[in-house]
Amino acid sequence: MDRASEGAGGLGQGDHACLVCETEAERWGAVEEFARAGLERGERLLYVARAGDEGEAERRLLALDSAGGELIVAPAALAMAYAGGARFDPAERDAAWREQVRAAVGDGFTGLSVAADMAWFNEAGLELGQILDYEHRCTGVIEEMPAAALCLYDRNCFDDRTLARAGHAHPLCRGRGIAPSGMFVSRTMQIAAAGPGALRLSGEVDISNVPSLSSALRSTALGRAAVLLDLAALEFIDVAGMRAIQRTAQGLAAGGGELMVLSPRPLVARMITMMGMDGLVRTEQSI
Amino acid sequence: MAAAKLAHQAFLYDGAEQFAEAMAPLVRAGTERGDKVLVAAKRASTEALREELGSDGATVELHDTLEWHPRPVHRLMAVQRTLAELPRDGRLLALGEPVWTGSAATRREWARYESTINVALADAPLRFICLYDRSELPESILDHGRGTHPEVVEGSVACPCATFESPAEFVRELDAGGGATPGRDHYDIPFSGDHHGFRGMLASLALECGMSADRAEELVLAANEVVTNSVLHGAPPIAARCWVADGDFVCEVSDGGPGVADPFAGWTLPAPGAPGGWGLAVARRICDALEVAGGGGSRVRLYAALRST
Repeated sequence: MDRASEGAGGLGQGDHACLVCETEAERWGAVEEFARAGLERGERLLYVARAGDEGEAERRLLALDSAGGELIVAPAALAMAYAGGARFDPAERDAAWREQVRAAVGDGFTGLSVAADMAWFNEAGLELGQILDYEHRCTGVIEEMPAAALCLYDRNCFDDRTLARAGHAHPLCRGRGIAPSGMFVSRTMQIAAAGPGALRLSGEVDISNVPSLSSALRSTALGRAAVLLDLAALEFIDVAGMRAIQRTAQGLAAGGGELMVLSPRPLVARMITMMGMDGLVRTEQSI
Repeated sequence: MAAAKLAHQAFLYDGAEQFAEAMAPLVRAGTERGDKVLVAAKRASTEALREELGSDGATVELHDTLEWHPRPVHRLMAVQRTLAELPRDGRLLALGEPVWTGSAATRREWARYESTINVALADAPLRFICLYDRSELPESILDHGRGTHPEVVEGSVACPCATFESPAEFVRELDAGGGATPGRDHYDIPFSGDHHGFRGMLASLALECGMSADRAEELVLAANEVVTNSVLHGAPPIAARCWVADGDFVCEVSDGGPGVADPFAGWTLPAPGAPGGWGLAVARRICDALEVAGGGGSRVRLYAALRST
């Protein structure tokens, strides 16, 4: 698996993710992984290509095993037509996407996953406020319906301010300058790879982002005997987050391995004891 | 020998001397049988008992009730740990005095603890004698004692207690009675799905009311768990109402759902693999008191003393 695209295959229904991509390889890697996972779930997969990219998209994506799903490559012109140029109306888009999800389900698919190259925003001449409004509305559609979206923002097409604001308009985002590289993160939590089998958590963990933490823990623990979690910069973790750590530790312990927690703040150390996890995880204050 | 089963008894006494005279023979009999004996009582009482026992008290564990796990759920867990460390076929004789010097809410939490013991320790090889000093406690607390123990100790024998109430009913009644509802001075924190924002608002409010930063961090964790429960098991609208009463910061989280059905929620830690029950267990361990208030919809009240005692 391409290291740069790690994480896109872990996205699923309910996820609205932003990937700020640097290279072609990263962009296609993430799209292919996202598409493969959606097709395996029996979804309709819609890829909105950038103008001129449709051929490449078809060559790459139509080669994927469609499993129980269906793959459609839509030309950027379609997105442009949707956008309606200066008449761009986020509310209208909201209704149109809901209709698309209903149509996918009506056609017998388990839902709709959309990967979209957002370069058309520029060609349509949209302003930042319109982009943010649009992305927030998409989050609402995805939360309420069987849908997922991966929005690709090419660093070469947008300025840093737009990337930062648009990135954080998504519940999940990844990209240099937006979030530490390696994985998708939420607005309030960051997960960074800190060496083999080691993760550094920062920010705040609660039920809004526990699924991201769980999947990061799962993929880190896969095939390893020991996992190190650096919690020094973690400001808050709820019981659901601790349970995700507990499950990972139980899995490791069952295979004779171990989970080590580094520098938890005092309340987190108390939660470890309170939840009876002190026999399961090893706690160190610093290396 | 009869199967191990809890004997939970109240002993209403008059001052330290009478306590020591009455309990010393029971403690001696216990140590002679080889029972583990654990005492957590007011300092004056433990001192009097130590003197009365003399060298017979060498193996007895004596604690000041203000210092030995002075919060109800932690006291219960400490007793559970002591039970877990007993040798095979061993028995525990515990003399325990709740701490009645805190706020009204913490006194209700101790009464809840007394009632919950009947359920949480039902199968333990334990004789648990709970101490109520008639010389200084008000009648309302003595009534709690009479309502939460199936037996009372009279002289050297235990008699059935006619006023004992079923624990589930006792706790529900206590929860429903609850504390006074807030007057005009309360603050509402709406919850619209943004946990991060909710935590920030609650933390600033608690700090503004004079809570220490460490305690505010704990309260925020507890309230976040109750809100998460409302999101997962309740129904909108979800909101928190906060006020200060009797030296406690009170945070009441409400939602439109049916509420918490288990009157003993959060007292005992779920089994390691259990899918639910963790949030309230952690919340109860962090707060000075937690109650599931009565009335329409779901209301869970968290209490944290503004000045630690």
